[in-house]
Amino acid sequence: MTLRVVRSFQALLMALLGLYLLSRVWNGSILLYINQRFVILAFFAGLCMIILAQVLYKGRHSALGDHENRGENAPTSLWWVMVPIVIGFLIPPRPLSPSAVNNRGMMIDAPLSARIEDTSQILELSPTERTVLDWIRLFSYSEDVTPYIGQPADVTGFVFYDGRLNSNQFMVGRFTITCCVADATALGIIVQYPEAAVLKEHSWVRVTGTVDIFERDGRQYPIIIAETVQPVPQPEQPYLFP
Amino acid sequence: MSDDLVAVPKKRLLDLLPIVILAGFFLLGLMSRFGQIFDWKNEFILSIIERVSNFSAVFLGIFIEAAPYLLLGTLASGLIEVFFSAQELSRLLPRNKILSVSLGGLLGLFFPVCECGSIPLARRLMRKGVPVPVGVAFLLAAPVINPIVIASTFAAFGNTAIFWLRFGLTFLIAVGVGLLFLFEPEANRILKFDHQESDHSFHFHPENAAGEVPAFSLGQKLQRTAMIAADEFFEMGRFLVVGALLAASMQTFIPQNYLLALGQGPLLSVFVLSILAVLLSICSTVDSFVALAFTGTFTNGSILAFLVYGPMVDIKATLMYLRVFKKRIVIVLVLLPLLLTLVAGVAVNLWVR
Repeated sequence: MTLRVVRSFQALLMALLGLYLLSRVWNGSILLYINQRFVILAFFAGLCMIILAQVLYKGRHSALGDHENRGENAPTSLWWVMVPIVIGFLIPPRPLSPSAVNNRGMMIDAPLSARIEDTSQILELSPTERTVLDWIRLFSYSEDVTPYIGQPADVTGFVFYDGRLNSNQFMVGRFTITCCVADATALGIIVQYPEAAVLKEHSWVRVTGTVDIFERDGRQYPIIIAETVQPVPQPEQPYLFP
Repeated sequence: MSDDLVAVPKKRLLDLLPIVILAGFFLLGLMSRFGQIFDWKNEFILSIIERVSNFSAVFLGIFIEAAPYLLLGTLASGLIEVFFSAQELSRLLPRNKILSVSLGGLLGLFFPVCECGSIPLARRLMRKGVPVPVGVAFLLAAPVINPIVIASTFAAFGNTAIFWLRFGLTFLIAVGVGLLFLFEPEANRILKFDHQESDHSFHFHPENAAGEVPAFSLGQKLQRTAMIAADEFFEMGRFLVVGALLAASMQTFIPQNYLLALGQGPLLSVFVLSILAVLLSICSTVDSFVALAFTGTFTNGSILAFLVYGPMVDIKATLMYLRVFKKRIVIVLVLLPLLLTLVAGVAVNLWVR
């Protein structure tokens, strides 16, 4: 390929990458991949890529550039950079499905990625507004958890069975994402429910009931004594961002 | 450099690989789309579609997260190339070699980039005449010793031994490995230069024999910055893509528990978490949160190893190193920090409570 063709191809790929990032930011589906804190970064990167594409295309005739880095392998590296473009535009954007929990395991413990010890914000929420993450955080960082006993709970998550649970228990879980999907960690609360065994694993449910305490190895965890468990469609934003 | 001259023919086959992968994803993409439109119920196809969509979610997550940093690193590299001369750069470093290598280890405090950004930057600095030991120390330390990672590690671990040991150890290993390169003064034997691959009619040599930069207008300089950044973005971006593909396959197809079940005991746990850090290829800004998840089940030394070794060497970084250094140097850069990390991790397990 001549330099002019390489430059035009580079410009095209840059523009497509930039457009991809901007379109995902625009329709919000970028939140299926990264934590909201980083969206602004992706947005500026998208803009920057569009500008770069413009500069590259305009300068496709000039020989300004790096005299050390280009060579025969330029076309190959361009093909590689097409991979994210093809995957991004062609494969329907879907969140990590609950079945991925089989590869990752489920935590009932301290909100790892959410080590914010200040619980005042969570306490301002009414109990039924708290998410799986909020409850676990609350139990990890409160001196005394007895006030929470008997509070109503209303959480949504996917069903997960663990071998150590009783037959009348299941876990309701959510993925939390600190940075990008690669660090997704499943957090779950144990739910006590007589018909636990008939629920379909990995399906989404909304659990209402009351909160109780369950102790293991001297630590206290929340457990929900369920009144109702109803199947719901997967929420628009299935991840929780600590 | 003669060993690099011969290696051209067998590359042809590798050139086809990205095209094969592209075609594969194109078909899988079409299948997923059709599956959606026609609402296929076949279990087998559904499970493939689910795997593919989990895979692409992780892949795109890594790519979207890392691409801005890579862009930032290459833009910084372009700016340094265009606006600084080699003399100006080397004048900034202290005369004392040990002092300047230590400074290299701390340079990340001023260029807050993660590993995707630090590699192009380090390469640029070394090609611009910054001594290789300084560049190596920067390369290994910058992904950890920078303000963003210090903040996130503090958020995760607070004022604990792990927090301080992470930065102390990273600094020591980076500077130690850097100092080792003092024994090889010939940059040509360490770095990979691409002169022989380039077709000279393409190129424009901005530096004349005396190494002086000819006068350009500001507009031209900026244009040149953009082009260098783009060239480097594609050159390094390919390794980001390959690394993200491998890491995503790891995460989608191999249950973490297999590896985790292997690793208990003061030695094995350190080894297992070091390897896991490489395979997961999580960005250094968040790996401390992931490490936190292991605190209950794993030894402190192994968590430290995860935090120290992961940012220095992971799948995508190793692939990018191959672009910067000769092969045997990459082997040193991968193995030496691993050994040092293992020793440190085991020592922590045995003597620090």
